[in-house]
Amino acid sequence: MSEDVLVIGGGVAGIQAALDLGDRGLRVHLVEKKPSIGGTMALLDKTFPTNDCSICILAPKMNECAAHPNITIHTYSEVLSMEGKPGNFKVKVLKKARLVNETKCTGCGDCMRKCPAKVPNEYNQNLDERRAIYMPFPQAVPRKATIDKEHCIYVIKEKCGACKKVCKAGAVDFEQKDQEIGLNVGAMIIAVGLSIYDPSHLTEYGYGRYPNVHTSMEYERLICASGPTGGHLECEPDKRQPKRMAFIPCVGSRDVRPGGCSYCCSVCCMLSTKDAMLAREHYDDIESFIFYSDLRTSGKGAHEYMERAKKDYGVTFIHGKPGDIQENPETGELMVSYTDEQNGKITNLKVDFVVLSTAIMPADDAQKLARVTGVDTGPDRFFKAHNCQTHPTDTTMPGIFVAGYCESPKDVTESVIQASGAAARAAETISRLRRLEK
Amino acid sequence: MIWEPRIIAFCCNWCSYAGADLAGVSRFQYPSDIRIIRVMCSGRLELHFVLKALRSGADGVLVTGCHPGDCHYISGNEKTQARMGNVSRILSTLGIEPERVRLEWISASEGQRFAQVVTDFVGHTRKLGPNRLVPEITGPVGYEDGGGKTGFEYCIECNKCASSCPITRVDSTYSPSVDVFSKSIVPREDGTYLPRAYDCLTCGLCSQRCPSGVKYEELIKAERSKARAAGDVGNCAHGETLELISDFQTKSDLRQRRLGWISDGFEISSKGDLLYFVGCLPYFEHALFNDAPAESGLSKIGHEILDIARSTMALLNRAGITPTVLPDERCCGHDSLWTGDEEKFRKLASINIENIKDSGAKQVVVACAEGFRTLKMDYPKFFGDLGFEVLHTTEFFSGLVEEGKLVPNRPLPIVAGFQDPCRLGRHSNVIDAPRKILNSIPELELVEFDMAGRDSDCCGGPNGWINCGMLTRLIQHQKFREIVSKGGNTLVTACPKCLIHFKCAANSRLPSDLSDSKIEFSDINVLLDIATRGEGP
Repeated sequence: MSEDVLVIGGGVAGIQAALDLGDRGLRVHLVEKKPSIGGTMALLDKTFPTNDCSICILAPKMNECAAHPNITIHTYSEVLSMEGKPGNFKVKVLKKARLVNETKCTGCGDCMRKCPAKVPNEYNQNLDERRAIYMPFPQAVPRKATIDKEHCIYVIKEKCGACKKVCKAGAVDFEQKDQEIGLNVGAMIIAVGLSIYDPSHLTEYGYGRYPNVHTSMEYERLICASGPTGGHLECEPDKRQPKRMAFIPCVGSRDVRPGGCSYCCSVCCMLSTKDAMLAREHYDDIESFIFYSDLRTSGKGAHEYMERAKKDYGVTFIHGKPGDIQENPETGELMVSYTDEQNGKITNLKVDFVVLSTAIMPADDAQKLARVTGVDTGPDRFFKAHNCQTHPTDTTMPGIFVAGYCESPKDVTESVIQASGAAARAAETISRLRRLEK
Repeated sequence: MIWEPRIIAFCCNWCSYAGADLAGVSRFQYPSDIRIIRVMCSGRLELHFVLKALRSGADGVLVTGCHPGDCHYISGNEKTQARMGNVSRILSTLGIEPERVRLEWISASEGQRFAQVVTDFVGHTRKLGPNRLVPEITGPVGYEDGGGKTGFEYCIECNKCASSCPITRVDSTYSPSVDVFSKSIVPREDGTYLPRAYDCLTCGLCSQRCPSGVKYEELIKAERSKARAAGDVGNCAHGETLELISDFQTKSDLRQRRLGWISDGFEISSKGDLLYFVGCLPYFEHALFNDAPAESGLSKIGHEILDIARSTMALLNRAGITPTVLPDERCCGHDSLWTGDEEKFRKLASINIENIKDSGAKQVVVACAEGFRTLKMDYPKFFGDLGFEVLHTTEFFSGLVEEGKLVPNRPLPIVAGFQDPCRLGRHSNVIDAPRKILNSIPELELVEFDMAGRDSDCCGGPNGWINCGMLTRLIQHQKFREIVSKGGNTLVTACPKCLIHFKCAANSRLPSDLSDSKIEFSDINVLLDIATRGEGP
């Protein structure tokens, strides 16, 4: 029997589970699809309800993971197959070739400065560019470069190789091949996280058509000091600073139309409140309006947070979803039409900037993983808990546990709580099997 | 039992009614088959009075008024004369003997003449026999309601519908969300209905945007059928003329004469692969506007509206297609369905489906957005697979333009804004085809409205002509302002109803900021017809 635990997904939930298990003395394999662990939380500027810097509280955990003697991180890797039973799962993991020798790379960044191939930067929501050889973000763990094979000029045309020439450590290795590694683990935790809804087809809000309409995830990067604009909000076409902003929660969530999410994402009331507060923190002269359907600010400090936004940050909360947004193509100003509930009149609010708090769904490849592991998912594609009241971290397969957003809508705090719970359940499985073995 | 005709006589207060009185006091004998209804002036008589009498079972209708030049109100009887012309044209198009309706001038001193006229008319009607065209429909039958269909229980009161509604924009006392919410708290089976059920334009923008999937139009249909059951049929802007015409069309043995508009140049066949479904156009010509005073400009609309049919026909023939046109086509039933009268819709639809199947058509083209939606979406919903494909003319003609079978080479130097009809754009997702056609016409510049395609704003046209009024006018004025502000000079649409509503609004009093603006209106088929007539002026 194996006493190791496999954690799939290196977001905050996966990191927490790995740390808890590692601290107990169990060996942990942490598999992450992207070149760095960190997940969605690494993208956020601040966290509610304290407005703490997100990466500042996450990065120590990421580093702790990397430095932990019991944790092995497999980034840029995916689970291919799984068989076996609790105590003895045989898992095949595809370790994709980074084309960079991880042991040699020092993360100095020389290669990234020389690389001529510019690629939209997915970490910054494609609002700026990275190079074909890149580290997703400055705090990346492991701090190693990765070559994006789709865009690397050398991979495509066998010309260039600038990174190889410039690398003093001699880490760039174009000969590197994808590797399949076999892991033998006693328990598994799934924490693959979330994906974000694309609001382009909601023509009424004009996302993708109007340059000053953004998603909340884009806004996180725009308002972030390390983001593409250095934390400055700019409006097209003249790059002016916005004076009035509208935040629309529930875009695509609580929406039964095809492509939408019928459930409440549970975070976007607080997220919109946070977004509005951040705007005010950046600019004294900004006015913010939040168009909510129901204000669901539950949890510790959440209601107070919302009251603080009203009182100290001058955020205006308006009940009701806007019907549509019209743009003045010359000035880029946006007219948000909503119903004034005092008199029933359709009122046009002129704003410079609109943020759509888009629905949050389970990660795109959650279904694939469900097929590989044999774990059930529900109608909304969330992983099913064995019993959502009494066993909220157990999946429908013994020995496989679940944590974070891929189980049900939740915020950072709840993800961490569930991750610790799942880690405890996994450790308990291992120790029970160990006892049975003896 | 010997059959006695039942005749309704409309007599004007000042001449004919006094004439009838004189006939009575003078003890002139005449048949007792007439029932007199007194009107202050024969000019009070509207088209639908006559149609309603016939629809209700009258065998003949006699209209009497003052002799020309003698009208108590100077010219009321001249209007009567014009309208009676329309009545007889509608009746002959419907295939009903126009002789069942007669107009006579009888003065107050002509008691003898009154008795003679009645005797003669009764004799004539007796020869015609009973009016066999009384529709069998029993009256309004409820539209199938059910929470499952409308989904109003799922409303989260986010007010997105109200923020989208074209009616709410001009009248803040109307709100779809309030309606939906009130339905979810009021018990459903108590016979009450939404007080403003007829104000909704059923454009469907609210339902498209509702995150909870509430089908507001379905709710409105159900509410309207309840309203009908309670005797409230709304205020029909054109009397009930068109509704009455479609009532007659529910008779399966009706033999219409509706092909009068097809001139010698056109080629049609009685059977074939492609059928052109004409719709109500032949009736619009006489039913809607012809009696309007010439200076209002409304009188032209009826004539121009038939150009859509002629242009469609010309385009089909030009592309080498000889379409089938049904001599006994019925109303598609759109207005009945959307005003909550499902039984009538079913009757009309089943006759149409049978006729289309008999013609052997594999494809049916419709130039009207409402008819298109009804045939394409509602017929299969009620009757299952039809066995023929339904296309809007814009879909069909844009294909022919692409294939080079129609060559728009005559320049039309206009700046056109395209009004996506709700039933074409939003309901049926036909958005690119009309734009392809317009872009293929040389020198035509297309400007897009802020709300276009699936988000298109309503033309303001109410269902079944009910509750057409100031609210719909305000919506139309907004549209006019938008096209003027975008530098356009022609409002193009692909639905006769949009066209009628726009023209009607443009011909009535406009607000001062619009009074100088020059906007032309055109149907897309007519434009394409002009553009493909060959080069030259």
